[in-house]
Amino acid sequence: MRFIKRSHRASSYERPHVEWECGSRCSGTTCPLGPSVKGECRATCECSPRLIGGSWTCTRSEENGGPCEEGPNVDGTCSKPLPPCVPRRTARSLRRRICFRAVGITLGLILLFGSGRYSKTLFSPGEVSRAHGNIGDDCASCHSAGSDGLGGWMHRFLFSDEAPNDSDKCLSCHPMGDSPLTAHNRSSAELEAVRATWDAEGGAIPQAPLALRVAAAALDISSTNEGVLDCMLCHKEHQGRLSNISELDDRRCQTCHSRQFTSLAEGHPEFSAYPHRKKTPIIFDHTSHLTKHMPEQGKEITSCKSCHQIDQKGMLMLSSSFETGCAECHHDEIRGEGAAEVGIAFLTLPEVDIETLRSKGIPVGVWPEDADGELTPIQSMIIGQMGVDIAILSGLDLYDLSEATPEQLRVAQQVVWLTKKLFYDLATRGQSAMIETLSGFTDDEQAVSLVAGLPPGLLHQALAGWMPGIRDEMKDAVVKDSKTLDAFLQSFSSGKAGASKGGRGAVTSVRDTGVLEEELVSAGGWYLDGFTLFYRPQGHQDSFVKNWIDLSSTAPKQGLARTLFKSLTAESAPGRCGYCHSVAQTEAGIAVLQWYSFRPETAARAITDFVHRPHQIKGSDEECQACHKRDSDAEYLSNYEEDSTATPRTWVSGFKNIEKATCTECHVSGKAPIACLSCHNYHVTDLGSAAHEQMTKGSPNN
Amino acid sequence: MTRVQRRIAMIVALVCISAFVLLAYSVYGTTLLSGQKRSGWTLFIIILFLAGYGLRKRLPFLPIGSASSWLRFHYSLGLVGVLFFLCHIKFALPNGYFELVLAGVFLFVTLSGIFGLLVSRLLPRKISLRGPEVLFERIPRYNRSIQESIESLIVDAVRESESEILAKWYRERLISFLSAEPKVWPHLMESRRDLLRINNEVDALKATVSRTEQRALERIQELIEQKDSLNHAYVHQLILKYWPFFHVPLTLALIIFSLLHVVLVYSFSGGLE
Repeated sequence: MRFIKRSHRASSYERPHVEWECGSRCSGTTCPLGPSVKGECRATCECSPRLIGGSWTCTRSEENGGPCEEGPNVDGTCSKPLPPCVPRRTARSLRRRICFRAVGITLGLILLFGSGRYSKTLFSPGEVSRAHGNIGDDCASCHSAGSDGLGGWMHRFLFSDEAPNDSDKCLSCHPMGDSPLTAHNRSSAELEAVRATWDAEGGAIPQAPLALRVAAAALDISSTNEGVLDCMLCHKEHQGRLSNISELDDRRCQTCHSRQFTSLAEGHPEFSAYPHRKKTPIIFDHTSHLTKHMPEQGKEITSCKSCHQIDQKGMLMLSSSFETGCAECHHDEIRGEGAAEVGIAFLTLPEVDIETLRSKGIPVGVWPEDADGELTPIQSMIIGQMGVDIAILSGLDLYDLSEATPEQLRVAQQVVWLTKKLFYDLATRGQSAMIETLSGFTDDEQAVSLVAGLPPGLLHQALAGWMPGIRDEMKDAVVKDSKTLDAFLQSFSSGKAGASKGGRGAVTSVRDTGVLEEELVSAGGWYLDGFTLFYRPQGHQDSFVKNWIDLSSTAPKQGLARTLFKSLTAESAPGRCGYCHSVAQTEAGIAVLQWYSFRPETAARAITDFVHRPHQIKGSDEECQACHKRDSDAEYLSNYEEDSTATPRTWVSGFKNIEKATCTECHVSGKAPIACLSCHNYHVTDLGSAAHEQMTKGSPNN
Repeated sequence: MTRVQRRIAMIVALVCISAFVLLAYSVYGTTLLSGQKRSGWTLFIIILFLAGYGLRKRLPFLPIGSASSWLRFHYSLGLVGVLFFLCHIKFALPNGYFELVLAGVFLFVTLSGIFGLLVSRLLPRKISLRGPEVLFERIPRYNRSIQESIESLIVDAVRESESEILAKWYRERLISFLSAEPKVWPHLMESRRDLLRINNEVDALKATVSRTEQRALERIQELIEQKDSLNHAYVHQLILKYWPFFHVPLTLALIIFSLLHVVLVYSFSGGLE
């Protein structure tokens, strides 16, 4: 049988593109008419007979077998009716319908699941890491688009010009300081300074790995997001519950670095001042203690661990507290044992040139003739804070006012009257009077601590002896309907106060016994010596001394406050605070005394971390000293001299720098970790204080 | 350019493009730059180009290259698209349900495409070797014609020999063979077991019938042979005709899912460029 018939007469024309085909096609008896475009069967007969020469003639085409033998019926109808069929769709039509249905089903599924309660689960690109597990399905916690639905996402994509900045969401829980999205949370100026330092220190620039060189040549890496590094750039979430989103490939770390290298052993710069880069807050010279002070005291340090213990995380070696490490030798020293100055002069009746004031017609009232002290720094600051321009007396001795200007005389008079008021109020109204005065320039809580149990009774007796008529003076001076200082000063300036009368003299009762007043308070506390009220520190962490030092750091009237700060933090000052605690400058340029040696919870995160525990295999001192080699020749104390300009890179440590070779003995490929993040932190912001601030302020969203 | 030269050029081009894609993937992986969006957009454009082949077939009058050139381009670009896809998902299964569905749809489209490529290369050759080369739509008619011829031969033989043997055999055995739907797997496996069974029956029948009937059986045997060849062609053309029933609808679903994926990525990427 010949299947291929080329003749148009012998073979029908196939139309696979039409929608419908005859339902009898499978049986091979296709109707020549075929179904209509709507899929209706049009089968009637095989032909439409034609009347030719008076007789009906079959018109069946040759393609369908030619005229039939039976011929048409006598009535002219075809004798071969076609059986009707149920037309069916062609393959192409079926495919088109399936395509439409596929599109419809796809869109339907998206609408069904995209707008339902499971949309977030469905569209989530994966589980978040365990650290963020508490967030669950709350996409809005981290994504600004999280609160939208399918329509919102479409709208954002099509019409929003502004890209969402979801890093802000990260920062609401993970504060990163003032420059959260810059490299290492440092400003570009700081980064440039670091780069300049490296360039200045020189050294051969190592060969970068091939992939990094290709990347640098092919891509403009430096222009990435104009210096803004979004959190998601490094932290890839939704990688599964057990994923570590802090992991980063070494090469990606080095993308931005000007010096790129292969590994710690190959190309990593030598350590220039590691780990002793920062001045220690506590001035402690290991060499002098180990070689001089301790042997002199008959003490022997047997191990580094006598003073340094590893923290709970196994990371840091923390120093012992004062009580366990220092008190044995330094406690008595703090309380003034053997010191020239034992107590801090709080208030005094200074020696004043009363005669000159009287001769100028300036009333000063009663004043002890043998007062011989000078205004104390604390007293100066209090009077200054009360509004008296005490600075005008600078360079002038109160006991010689013969050449004082009228303005200076007026201020001297104010000093006299305010001093008497301070003493009188303290003696008569007690601590509340002093707290009231101090509250003018500090808060109530601190004012209470600045008074520190000041005993009014001590002054009450003494004041009666020093200035017997002061009670009358003060009664006359104080305007009853006004308690303001201006009213007080006005009252004595107008001569209301009583005439001057000489006092009896300083406290002498205890001197007669040969015992000094300060010795009577050997455990610390208040005492009178002469015309001066002293405070003797009670020991380490004396809140009175600490609070006055802190106040003098931050109080306004910087001239007086600075004088007070210097007097209290001098190396030989009572309490000896400045002997061990160093002075540091805050970013605002304020000098503060550093009270704590090292507080990991508030310390800025360093660029380099060293985890001590895995390095202490035997726990022996040899292991400590393998890295920490004491430098006996180092002039450690020079860092703390007043004119010292030591910077973190130039300050002199009591230990020698650790050499890179010490680390690369073990930290080579296959032996110990060599990844950048094994030793380095990317975020070096002050996480401790920032987190603390966050906790105290609450979430910014609140 | 000869066919061989063209194929060699195509293979070389594919290897070069693949090497470039892998190098770019490695370089982007090295840096902090995000290559995901770039690979994603490239992949999406590739998918659109691949889907454009269907449109091209519907617009034969446009002077934009022959359909066969487009088909070759479709195959090559499809392979490059697979490489981009693997780079885009970082050679690992996605974690999210939607991404998993999207990857699954891409995988099905790819596999159906590869299946289509294979069958369109292999099956026409098999049809040609076995013959006959007939239009798929006409095969039922040819089958009907063969059946009518056989019936005619049997009627003539019965009339001449006055024996009911052939008629009985036709009713009991042959008609089920002629009217049965072609079996797909035996024909794809080039199995001729059914044909041999029928031929064996015919041979056995020849020994018991008259000379007239034997001549009729010989002719019937030829027609059975042709019917089996038509079944073979039908099965192979059926596959060639119907594999796009999976490929094309899945491609449309893939485009829609990909669009949604793009929307989601831009909504949730947090401004990361």
